[in-house]
Amino acid sequence: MPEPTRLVPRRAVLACLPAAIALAACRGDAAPDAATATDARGGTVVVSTPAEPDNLAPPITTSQFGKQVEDLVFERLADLGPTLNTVGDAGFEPRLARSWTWSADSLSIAFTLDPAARWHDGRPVRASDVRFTWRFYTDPATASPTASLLANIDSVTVRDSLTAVVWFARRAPEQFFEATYQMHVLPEHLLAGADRARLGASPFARRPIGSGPFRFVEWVPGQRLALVADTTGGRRRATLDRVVYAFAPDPMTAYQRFASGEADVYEAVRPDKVGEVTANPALRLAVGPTLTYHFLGFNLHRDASDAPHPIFGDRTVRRALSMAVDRAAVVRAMFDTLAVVALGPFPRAAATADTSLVPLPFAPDSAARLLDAAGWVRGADGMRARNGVPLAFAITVPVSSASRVRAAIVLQEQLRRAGVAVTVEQLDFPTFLARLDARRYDAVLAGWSADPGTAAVRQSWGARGARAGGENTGRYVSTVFDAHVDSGVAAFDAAAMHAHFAAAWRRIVDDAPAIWLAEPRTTIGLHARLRPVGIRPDAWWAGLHRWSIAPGQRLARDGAAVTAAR
Amino acid sequence: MTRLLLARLAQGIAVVLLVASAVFVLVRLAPGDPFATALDDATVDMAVRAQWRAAYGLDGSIGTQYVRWLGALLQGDLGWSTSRQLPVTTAIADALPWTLALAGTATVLAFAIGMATGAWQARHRDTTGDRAVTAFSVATVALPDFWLALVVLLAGAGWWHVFPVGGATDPLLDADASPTTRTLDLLRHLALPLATLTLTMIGSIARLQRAAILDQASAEWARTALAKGVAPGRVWRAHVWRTALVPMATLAGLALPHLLGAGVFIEHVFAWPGFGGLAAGAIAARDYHLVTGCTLVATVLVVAGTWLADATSAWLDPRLRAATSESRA
Repeated sequence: MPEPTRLVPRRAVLACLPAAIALAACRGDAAPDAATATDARGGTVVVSTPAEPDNLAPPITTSQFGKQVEDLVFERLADLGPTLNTVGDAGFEPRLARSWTWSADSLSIAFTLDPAARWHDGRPVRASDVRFTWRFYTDPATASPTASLLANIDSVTVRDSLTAVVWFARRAPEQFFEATYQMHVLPEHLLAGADRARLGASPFARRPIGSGPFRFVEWVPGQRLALVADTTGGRRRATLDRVVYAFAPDPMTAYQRFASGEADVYEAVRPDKVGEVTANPALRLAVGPTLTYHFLGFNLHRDASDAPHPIFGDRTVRRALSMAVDRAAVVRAMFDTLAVVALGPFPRAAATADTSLVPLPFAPDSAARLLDAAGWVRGADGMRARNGVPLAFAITVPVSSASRVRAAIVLQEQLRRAGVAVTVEQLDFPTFLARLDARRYDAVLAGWSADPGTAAVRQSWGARGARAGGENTGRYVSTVFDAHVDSGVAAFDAAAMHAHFAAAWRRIVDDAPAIWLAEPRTTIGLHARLRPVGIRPDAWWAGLHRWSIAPGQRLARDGAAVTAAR
Repeated sequence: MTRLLLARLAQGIAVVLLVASAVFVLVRLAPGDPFATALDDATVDMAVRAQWRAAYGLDGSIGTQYVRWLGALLQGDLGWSTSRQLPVTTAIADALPWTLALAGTATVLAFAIGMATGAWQARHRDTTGDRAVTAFSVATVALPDFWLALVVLLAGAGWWHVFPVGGATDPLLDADASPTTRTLDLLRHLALPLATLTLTMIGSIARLQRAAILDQASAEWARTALAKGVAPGRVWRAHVWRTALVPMATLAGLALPHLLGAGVFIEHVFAWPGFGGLAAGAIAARDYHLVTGCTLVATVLVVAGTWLADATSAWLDPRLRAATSESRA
């Protein structure tokens, strides 16, 4: 179960941040129950962000920020709960669907829509919209990147105007997740005639109409994107009146806009700015878990060939290198106190996590013995070599990530002490990705933002991800790991799922295809007057419609929003 | 003269095509891919990836793409931006007015201040004031644009809170705001990037103006005029300063590349929604069509600026016109 996001009291942060992170003191639902009361309604939240959407048509949106806006403008049938469980329907919260019923054979789920649900143009949301949505996503003409994730859905039928039935090709533990999480329901009456092959060029992609808690107002490229609370349906009315995203491509400028009070939210406060935020009485910091982890991944093969890598092809050497690294020091260099040492290729907040896993220890003496045994012995200069070949490799890192560059430098020094010569290769991000895709690297400092689903790990560390075009670019392949993951993904019983994943994690940690480094915490900067609710590890904005501002703490811009939204 | 300008125009068109074509090829040879971040998820079907490439005209060899691009260019179509998901012409048309507003105002201000400063320095040559202004000019030329932008941003918006941190307008500006309110809001947002961009230009303008005036002031014809009893003030204003304007016209034409180059950093830091930020974002996203489109437009602007500088120089300096006529004869 994920640790809830906590609000760290200002002033106390600097002194006790390490301890504060380790403690799960209180739930993120800091706002009182009365937050949804009429008198709590109102206010504006300005989010300062360096990102901008690619488009706002859910089937073809690829940017994270675009998906964030769509989560507010559109709705799913149901949404993940705070536990992030994806097996069965436990923990899922109703959204467009008020309730759902499983068939006896579990091959279909009938979703009953909320009769009060309305599109933002006033038209009612109907079951036919759900059917249309599935057809739209899976139509090859749409070329939706999400289509393959809906492969287990055989069809969607309409039982009556408010009941949509989703039929599955086969029973699967995550079939409810697949039917709800991967699709935002679309308005058939607006998109039925759309040219699906050119959806990105349609007006809908720039001015979407959804049924979510916020209604789209405007998007001025390079400047702002504005949403207001939808008041037409009277259902799930957002407490806030308005959310405005202010764009600034430079992260420093985006942060400065927040720090100066022009914006209320900055979603990724850097460690070196934490002190500044906590010292400012008008600001505070929300620290919580994420689904992200960072690692130093080894290429187990010589570049793109099938030949084993002369260093990383040897499991013993990989284990030795892992044990030669003081990961806590690397994590401090990367994120100061705003991260914990990763346990393995999973974040602690993931449903599949095994927090009892004991990672390889930091044991320089043992590492030295293992390297000696593998034939990599120290020479007169203290550096290791085998048969005249030095123990040397390059760490490839994107230059745009200051934290990863810092980590590479610390790793370089730590490994030098172990007799390993490391060079740091800094590349711009597109080149970095191209090198990964081509598998032309020795070791890479990378980070994954894990999908809440259980199956995503197959792509990142399983055999199927090792194929051309896959994400497992280091090509770690273990039939034992794959078997446990497959069994875990197929398990309907939570205990069995956990047992299989625990075994899989044990195996991959023992095989050491990477040095698992850091699990950063989300560090959201907030204006002190905000009362955030339900910050989820995979989506801090998940509960934004329930955020509130106490009437006595409102600023001039909050009052202006009331006029604009009503 | 007209013939010379027409020849320059033809050269300019050739340069524009050559530069745009070179960038078209080079950006595709650079490592990376416009869909690397968007579609690199292994769950995305290869057919979907191929469909996206075809939809954006990125399928086929570089030669095929080039012929397709050239054909579209002749119809005024610069392609579709993969990162903005807009026609490239729309993206540029949205951004260019902001850059022209910023760069245009900065040019006027920088030349007004720089020329006045240079003229004052020439009149007060080798005084303490002249040396102090020279030191300041050299400093503004030497300082990196992005560093200067960050300092101005922190001082004006971070420490003193006099101006907004970035952007071109207040994100909360009421849609019904009056034109006066809108203008004032725009000026407040313009102040810091304008100050930065102007500062980056003043130094070189002042230095050149000072040198040009001193050069003309020591010419024989100036000494002759003074010897004949023309008032020194009149010699300076009507003769020396006017003649010293010719290199300034050339500099004005050459200022465009600087404005576009410095604008990339300054617009980025101040979140100014202009052309520089658009181009920088396009390069980072390997947005092939947008990179090529931005290059094309930037080259057109630079060539046009140079052409205008040539025309202005010829208009200001009769010797140039005479030289052209002589060579024709």
